[in-house]
Amino acid sequence: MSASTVDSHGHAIPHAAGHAHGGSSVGHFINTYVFSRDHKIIGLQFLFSTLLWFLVGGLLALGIRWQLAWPWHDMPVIGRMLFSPEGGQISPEFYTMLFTMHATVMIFFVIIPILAGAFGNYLIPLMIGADDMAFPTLNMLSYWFMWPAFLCIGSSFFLPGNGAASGWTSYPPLSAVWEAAPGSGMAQTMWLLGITFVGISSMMGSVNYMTTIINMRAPGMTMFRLPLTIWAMFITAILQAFALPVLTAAGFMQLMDRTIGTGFFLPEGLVVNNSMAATGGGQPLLWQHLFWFYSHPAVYIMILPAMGMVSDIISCFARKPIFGYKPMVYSISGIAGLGFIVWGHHMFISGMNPVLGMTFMVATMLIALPSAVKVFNWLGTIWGGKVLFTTPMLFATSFVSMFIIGGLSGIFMAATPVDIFIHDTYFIVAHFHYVLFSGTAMAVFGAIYFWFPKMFGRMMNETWGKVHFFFTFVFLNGTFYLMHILGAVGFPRRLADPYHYETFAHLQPMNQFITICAIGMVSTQIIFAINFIYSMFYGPSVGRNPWHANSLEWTAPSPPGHGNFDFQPIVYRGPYEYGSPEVDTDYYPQIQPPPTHPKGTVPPKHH
Amino acid sequence: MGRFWSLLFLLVPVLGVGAFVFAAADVWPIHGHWLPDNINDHGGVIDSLFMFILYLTGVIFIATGIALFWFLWRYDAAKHAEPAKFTHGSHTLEVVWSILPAAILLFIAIYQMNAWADAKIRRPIESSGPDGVAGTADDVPQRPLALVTGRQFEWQIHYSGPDKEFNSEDDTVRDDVFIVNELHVPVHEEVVLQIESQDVLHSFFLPNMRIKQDVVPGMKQFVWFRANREGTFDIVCAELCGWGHYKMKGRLTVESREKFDRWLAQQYDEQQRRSFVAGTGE
Amino acid sequence: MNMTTFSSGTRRLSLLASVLCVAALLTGCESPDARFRGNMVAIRANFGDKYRTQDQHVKDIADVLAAMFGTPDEPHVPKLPDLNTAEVLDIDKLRMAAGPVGSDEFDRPRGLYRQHCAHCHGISGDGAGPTAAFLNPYPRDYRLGKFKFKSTPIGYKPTHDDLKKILIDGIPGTAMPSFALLDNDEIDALVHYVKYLSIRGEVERDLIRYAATLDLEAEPPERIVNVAYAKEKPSDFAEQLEEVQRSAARLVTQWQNARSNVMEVAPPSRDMNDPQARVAAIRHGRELFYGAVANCFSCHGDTALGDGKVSYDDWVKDPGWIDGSTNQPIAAQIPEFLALGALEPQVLRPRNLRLGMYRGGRRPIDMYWRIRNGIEGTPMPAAAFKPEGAPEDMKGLTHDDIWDVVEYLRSLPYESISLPAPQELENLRERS
Repeated sequence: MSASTVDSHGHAIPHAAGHAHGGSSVGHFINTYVFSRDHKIIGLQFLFSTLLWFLVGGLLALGIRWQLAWPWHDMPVIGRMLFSPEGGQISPEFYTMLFTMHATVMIFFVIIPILAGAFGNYLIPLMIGADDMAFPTLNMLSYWFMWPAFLCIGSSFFLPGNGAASGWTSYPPLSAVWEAAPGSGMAQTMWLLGITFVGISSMMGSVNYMTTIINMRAPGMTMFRLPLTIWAMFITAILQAFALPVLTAAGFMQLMDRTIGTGFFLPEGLVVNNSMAATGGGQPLLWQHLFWFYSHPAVYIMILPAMGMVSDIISCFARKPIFGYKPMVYSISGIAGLGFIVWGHHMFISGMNPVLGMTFMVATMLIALPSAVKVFNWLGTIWGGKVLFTTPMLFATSFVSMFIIGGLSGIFMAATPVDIFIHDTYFIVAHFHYVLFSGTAMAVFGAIYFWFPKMFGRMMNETWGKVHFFFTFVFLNGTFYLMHILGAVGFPRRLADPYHYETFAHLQPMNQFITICAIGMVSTQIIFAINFIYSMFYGPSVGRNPWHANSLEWTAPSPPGHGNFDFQPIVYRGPYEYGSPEVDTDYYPQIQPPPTHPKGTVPPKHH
Repeated sequence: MGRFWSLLFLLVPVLGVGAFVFAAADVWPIHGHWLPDNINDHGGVIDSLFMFILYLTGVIFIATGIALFWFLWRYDAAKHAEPAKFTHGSHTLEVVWSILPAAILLFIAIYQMNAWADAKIRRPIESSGPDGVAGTADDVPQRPLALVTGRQFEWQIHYSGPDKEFNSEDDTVRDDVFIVNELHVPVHEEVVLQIESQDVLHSFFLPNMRIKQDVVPGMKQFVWFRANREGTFDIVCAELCGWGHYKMKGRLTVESREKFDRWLAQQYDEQQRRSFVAGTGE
Repeated sequence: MNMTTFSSGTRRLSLLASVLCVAALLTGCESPDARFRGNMVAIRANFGDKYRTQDQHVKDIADVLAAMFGTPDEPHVPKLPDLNTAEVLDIDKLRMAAGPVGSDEFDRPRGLYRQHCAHCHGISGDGAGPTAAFLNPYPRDYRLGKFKFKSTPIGYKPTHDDLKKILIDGIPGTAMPSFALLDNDEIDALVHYVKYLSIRGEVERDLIRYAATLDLEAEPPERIVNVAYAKEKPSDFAEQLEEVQRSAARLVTQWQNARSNVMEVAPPSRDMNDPQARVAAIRHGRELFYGAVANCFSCHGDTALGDGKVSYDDWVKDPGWIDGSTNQPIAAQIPEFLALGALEPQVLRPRNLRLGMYRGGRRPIDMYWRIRNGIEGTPMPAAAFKPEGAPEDMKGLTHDDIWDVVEYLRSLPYESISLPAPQELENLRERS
């Protein structure tokens, strides 16, 4: 990074890479890389932490798949470690722990923090032309508040019951009565504390994102010149800020039910597993309302940023402006708005008043609309472009392709009568894995390949990236698609041994096929891990803008130094002016002033 | 490589629809991988709604999948020299593809409401009440045949017996029958079940009846059906209820009225057993 | 834009990747065999503080048991002369229940015990499987050879049908679910396997008691049986082998005789289906319940809510860690026993008789047996029975008295104080 590299039209300011730090070199290291207040370091800290948890979550998933394919057979590695007197056969509560912790880890430690924490942190200041977040210390705290969460939930694995085991939804009374399940003891308390810390961290992040996006945009960066990634992050932050307090409050209520004998969620006199009769007076359904009041918006927290990043990637590699920028923004906002009034669709058969179910059905049907608009706009963006099949583009395209499946299968669940049959079956498992893995996780992979050169100044290997894409794509469909078929048979979720039901006994071969695909899918990530780590150190170095993209982050050095820009960015247009007739290049960076002469009279300025 | 990737994305709708067609056609190698036999007179409507949504989404799935494939194939930068179309979108198109799906989605929602009300709100009635008009507030709802209570980890079944009252303790009638996991119901008759939970949440799921209802401690709920075929079917617990969730299997036996009455009387007699002579066994 | 330059280093990367893949494949292929766990709690209880030096005994006992009973994967029926052991332990049934979960070449199920029972009752039948510690009450430890709900008096084994009934009905109010939906021969197989584990466990306890009489430090050391050596020269261990055989034979005989020890019951003289007779029976039963002879209320409480004396059952008392004078566990010994595999002491509460929840069965005959015979392993005693023709002044319950108590107990759940309090109805939402 040379401090003198100044963009042709930028205003030269001293480069910040040599930012002076007082104190010893150890203190310098800690300030720069551990308790850093630089949004990029914090973003990378989130990225590395979440990728490690991604591995944990993936392995937990393999445990689930193993049991479903070969129930009660000795489970490799873990069965030998924990259940050797039983011949490696896991116990049923261990299975309930596996799927609880798989979901917990994937949702709270991977998907949410990798989108908001890693990419939100890294990209927001860079894409809006700010030198950092509005509140750098708060930002640092938002990362470090993840650690108590990591420790709480990590420690829950080593407590009696081997971890919380009442599902990631933690429905009382199962979760609220200590005696109700092996995992409902101390492990569940630690789980609740962990979730609270995740909530604190997210809240700090979302306050920061909102403030930064509203206040710190570069000159000329109007709201409607923001890249869609930033719009998505902005809306996500609003969603989080308004929905999270409800979950935090509910979490505390459950903690109190568990510890000081309140009865928010327990009916009077409830006895589970010969526990002391609850003082009670509460309602188990109350928890579901509070939980889903957060967790349904959370579903959009888990997908909107991915949609934003995919829009940026697709526009860049279709070399064409995004189709319908404003409708895209409106649909993101529409999803966020409707997202607050559809939580009841998780509760159609919960015992909630069925009349209420009808209103939630209408709202839920309507929320499919903005999603559909987005899909059409992505297709419109690719239409008439010049598609470059780079690795990020493949992942982004697969997001669109897979999101169509995830979106369409959602309509089945939104229809209340059909939901009676498919609720809590593998149909829903297929649905949310298509949205969260085939959707968000694929978008995250694409985003990593796309912004890697900005993060580390080096490219990831394209060939191996495509190999990684190909096998992930094939195996994920092998894994998740057939779950729709299982769901059509009524195959229920969360059963440690479904095959003793006559209705489902014949589904074991299909489950074995799914498990083999899942093993393939997880193994494929070894390619990604090696490519990632190798490229960090040995990948080919690249300049500021390897993809010839328009948005502001590509005008900063790669990787950007402390303070991000070595000039004051001034924004002249939106981020998607690819193939503009105003200039000869097929891209038109946001900071490039409009030509003073008609096209063709000024020689191209760009490297 | 652009061609290869485009074709890969074409495989999504092709294989995706293919998988459903195969499963629904019930052909080798995936026999019985479709909606289980429906034996409930009221369940068919759910199946047909499922199929309706399946056809509708299938069409959209194919259309969007092929569009995606075609755009990738057609506008592959390596194969086509012409410049990208510089357009920021089309207002008309946005309006069309907002209103059309909105109309379809609202239609689906409203179209389903009757089925939902029949399944969850309009409990069968015993008589139409004093005013003699069915569908009014004074209707007398049909009393449940049995109370099914979920507990960790079994279904306790409590028949109200001929007096149709649970736990009636006037001294002449003590006809309740208590059974575990075995639910018998008469065929071709409207059956109402009261379902409750003794401890945590469970979900009473009859795959063949298209019935599922969570049971919540402290609440009582009702499900109803009319079986149209004799046989034995699964009762499944569909809401996580603890370590033994998978064990919570019950068996539903649909049989003729005579057989049902005989069976219930037999269970009653066994339950009242007051003597034991060695060698008679159980 | 030139994307091809980015593929440099591909070859080095592929090498690294393949090395890692091979390494991943090589880790862990062998699966462990399930194994019976030695009854260390009994060793500790019998040998006291010097139990740590008894490794030779522990090993010998395991060897003897393995020779007699085989392993969890390959069970044997002990060979006992003059006894038809197959009647109690059918090897085909045992094989069906034992081993890992799966099916044999004829598609018959295998490993039923591990599929349905082991995670609570443990591979060894010690009632200490992985799930056990979280349950209240704990799962049954078969190794004491005691069973609560049966048609035979205390001290006698339950019949095959008694155990079968428990499997079919489950035990309401506990974590024992109903297995009514298993095939009849599967239930039979499981019952045989429970008997097998029980006999094996009791033989083990006998051997431990026997070992406590031997001195390992003597010269030559007094060992139970050196199995390897005894195969060549059984005569050297004649006395010990006889001891082992005697123990097993005694147990098999007891199980064989269970059927002949069943308590036959005649119906009550009153016609309980006649409302007036039943009212009279209930009234009389109530008097007896609160009377000095039956004395039910002293444990089950003045209100029959089970709020009387709290105690421990025989399974909890087994390690001998309950102090007789205070009736409390000896705190100092708890960690040591827990480390050896015992579960935390769990108190036993008298049954709340108003719930309509009958662990040992709701039939009148089941309740009669429980009152007449008591409940083995618990403080519930057998009723003082006054046979027909006994002297007038003899204290005790007659046959008909017991039936009246049964009828009273059956009416308790219907009394108004047993029914849910009216304000609880606020929680109920009835949907019409």
